[in-house]
Amino acid sequence: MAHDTSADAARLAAATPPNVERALRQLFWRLLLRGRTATNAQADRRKFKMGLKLTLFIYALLGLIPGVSAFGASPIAFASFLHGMTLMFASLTLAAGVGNMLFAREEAEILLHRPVRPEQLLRAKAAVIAGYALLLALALNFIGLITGCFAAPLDWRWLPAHLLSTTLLMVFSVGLTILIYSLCLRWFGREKLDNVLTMTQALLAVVMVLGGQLAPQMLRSGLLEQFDHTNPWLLALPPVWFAALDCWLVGVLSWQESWLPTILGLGTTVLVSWLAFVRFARGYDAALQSIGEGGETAKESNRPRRLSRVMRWPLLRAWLRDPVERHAFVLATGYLFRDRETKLKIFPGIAPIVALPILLGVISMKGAGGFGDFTQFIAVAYITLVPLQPLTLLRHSEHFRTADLLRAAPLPHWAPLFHGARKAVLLWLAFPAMVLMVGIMIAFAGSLRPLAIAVPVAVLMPVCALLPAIRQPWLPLSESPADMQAHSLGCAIFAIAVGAAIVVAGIAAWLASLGYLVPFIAGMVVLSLLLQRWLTRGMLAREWTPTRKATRS
Amino acid sequence: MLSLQGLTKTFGGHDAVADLSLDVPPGTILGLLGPNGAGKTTTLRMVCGMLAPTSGTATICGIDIRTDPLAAKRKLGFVPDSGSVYEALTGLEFLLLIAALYGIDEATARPRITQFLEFFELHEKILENKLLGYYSKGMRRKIAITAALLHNPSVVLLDEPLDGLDANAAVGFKKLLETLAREGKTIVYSSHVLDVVERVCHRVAIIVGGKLAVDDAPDELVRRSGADSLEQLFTQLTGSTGVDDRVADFAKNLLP
Repeated sequence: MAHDTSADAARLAAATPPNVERALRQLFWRLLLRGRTATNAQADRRKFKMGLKLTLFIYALLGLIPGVSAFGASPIAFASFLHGMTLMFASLTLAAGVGNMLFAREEAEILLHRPVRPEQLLRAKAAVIAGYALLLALALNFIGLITGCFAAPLDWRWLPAHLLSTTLLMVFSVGLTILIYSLCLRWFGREKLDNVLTMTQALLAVVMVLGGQLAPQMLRSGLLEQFDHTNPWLLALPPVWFAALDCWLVGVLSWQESWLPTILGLGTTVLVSWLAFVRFARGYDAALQSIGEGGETAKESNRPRRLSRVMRWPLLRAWLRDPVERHAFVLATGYLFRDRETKLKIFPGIAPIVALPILLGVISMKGAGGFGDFTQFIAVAYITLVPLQPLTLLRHSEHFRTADLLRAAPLPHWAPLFHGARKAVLLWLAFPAMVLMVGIMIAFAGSLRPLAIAVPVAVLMPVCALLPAIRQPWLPLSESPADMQAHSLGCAIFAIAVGAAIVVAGIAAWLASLGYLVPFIAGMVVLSLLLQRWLTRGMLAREWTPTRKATRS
Repeated sequence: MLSLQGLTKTFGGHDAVADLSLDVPPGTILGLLGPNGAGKTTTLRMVCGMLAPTSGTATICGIDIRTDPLAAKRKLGFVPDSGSVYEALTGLEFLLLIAALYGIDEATARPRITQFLEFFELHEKILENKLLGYYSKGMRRKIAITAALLHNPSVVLLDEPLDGLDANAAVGFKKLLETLAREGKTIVYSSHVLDVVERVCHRVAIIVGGKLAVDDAPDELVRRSGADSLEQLFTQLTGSTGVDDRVADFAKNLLP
């Protein structure tokens, strides 16, 4: 299959109907824009148009920040800023979408037995991904494209030059993302691919947050203002390669001043594209085959799975006395760590929540000599957001039809199912995130003071984690991912959680300075238990009709 | 014509399919039987190019699936047991996509799709407007069967094709298979439903532990083995004995 000689390949190419790639591109555009589990064709088309317009509008607004820098910064700094923002946002979008599009499990069943060459399949996907990324990139660069034409010493040539360089940047970005995923599959195998995809996306999300904070600092540093194209720090930054190309094409930098980054940009783009779209594309069917091989390669082991061992921990057994709660905990834990779809949504989502406060602390440390009080409050309060997003996401799954089992079961209420999932999120995500954060803060601050504000906030976290089910019934994995927007929590809930945490952290800091921290923590424990009981009673008081809203089979 | 020679697939040192050889001439419906995990689906996946065999060959109308996969796949129609379809497409969009992949233009594909619609008693409006994610299991199965037969393949592989079909559709589909066989198509029908296989198939191959245990006409197999029925022969071959005792024990324990 992937081992044709060149003569065979030429013969096959001649025999392939010419419209196959076009049909595939059309297919992947539809899947990308509608989502794999869209609901109704007409409604989704409308929803998509609105969604895409809104996304493009938000990207255009984001482009305002680098766009206006055209009038203050040097052309190379302006172009680097634009390309940097584009690369960050495009990378995040690509990282989020590419893994699912490249390695969709059901694809092998639908397409691998059809007369389609693996290269065609990969090229069609790459074209769609690149097209979508370019669309977002153009929206992000829209203001910059205009302002650049009017900011001396740039002129009208900026427009075609920057369009060309942005297109090249997107080709580079798509090629690199596909190449990374192909190599991951080759090196780590199918079993570890999901974890690698999750880790890659989480890292990219963190890099985006870091980049967003560090880019303005870099602009202020003067490194770009006194541009030296042989500076190794600058040569390590892909946005600078394409910015140098911009400046050379527009004529603000001579070839002698820009050849090294320009050649690096063009050369790397060609190399990465060849590797991703030609060299590794030939083995793409093998990759899809291995994804579709399912559990047939699973290693047999007499040892119980880690989760069953964990479930025997005495403290955990005491915490999960209700059997329904306990099994909902197992269900949520299983999906958090085993289901690719869930992992790819949750971990890249919470990674920036943890990374941002750390970064704020690092930046503030330069000026204030460490994590200042306010930064500490913000950092700790931010962690209360960690359980909210996963609990919203755990409600939605491609396997939503299976939740009919829960609806059919003679359960008087959904609350134990929610509590099980909530406890899983608290135990596996929220508390470890808090420990990580506090550990870093203690290391930076050089004292145990951050612990004083973190403990009361951690005590409050189980209450915050009840908020996703405060307004509507919550069954695990029971809703289609297409309905996610309708069930988003809204800013008010996030604001309540963070606001309450900031207040608690502030009071804790104040009382700690007066020596009343231990009574305060004890009071917070009592308050947290009372609030949990009160909110749970509220949930139980609401009648539950276990029916599925949609008519989907 | 379908020919398998020494087809083997090994997963992590375990032979899922071991040295399987079969020849299925045109006009034959071969029933592929075996207990769960016997290697039926793995065999079909290797034949249609979804899995690379560890060794051996599979040729479709004389074309080796490994050396000329595109030509072989054009001669082949496959209905996977999962019945996977792109849920975000309408039925019509999905079938037109499949037609395009086989080089059938829309003008040619539409009348063919209409024929299948009429055969399966599907409404055109639903096919045009409703996304596949909202189809019932049976309707999705009908679309998957249409997608497998749309390009008029010479060899048809069916993995549990009746799963989800209502009784009327199932009766119609069985008759369709007989017609296709009369027209010279080679059909491989993998299923767990023994009586359907017995009635529809000209030949039955039973796979046990990845190996071919028997291969002959159903009547001949029963006659030679001395069993009362194909079902009895199947339980003998697959080592599933003492069913009556197990059922009695189970009922006794479950319903004391």
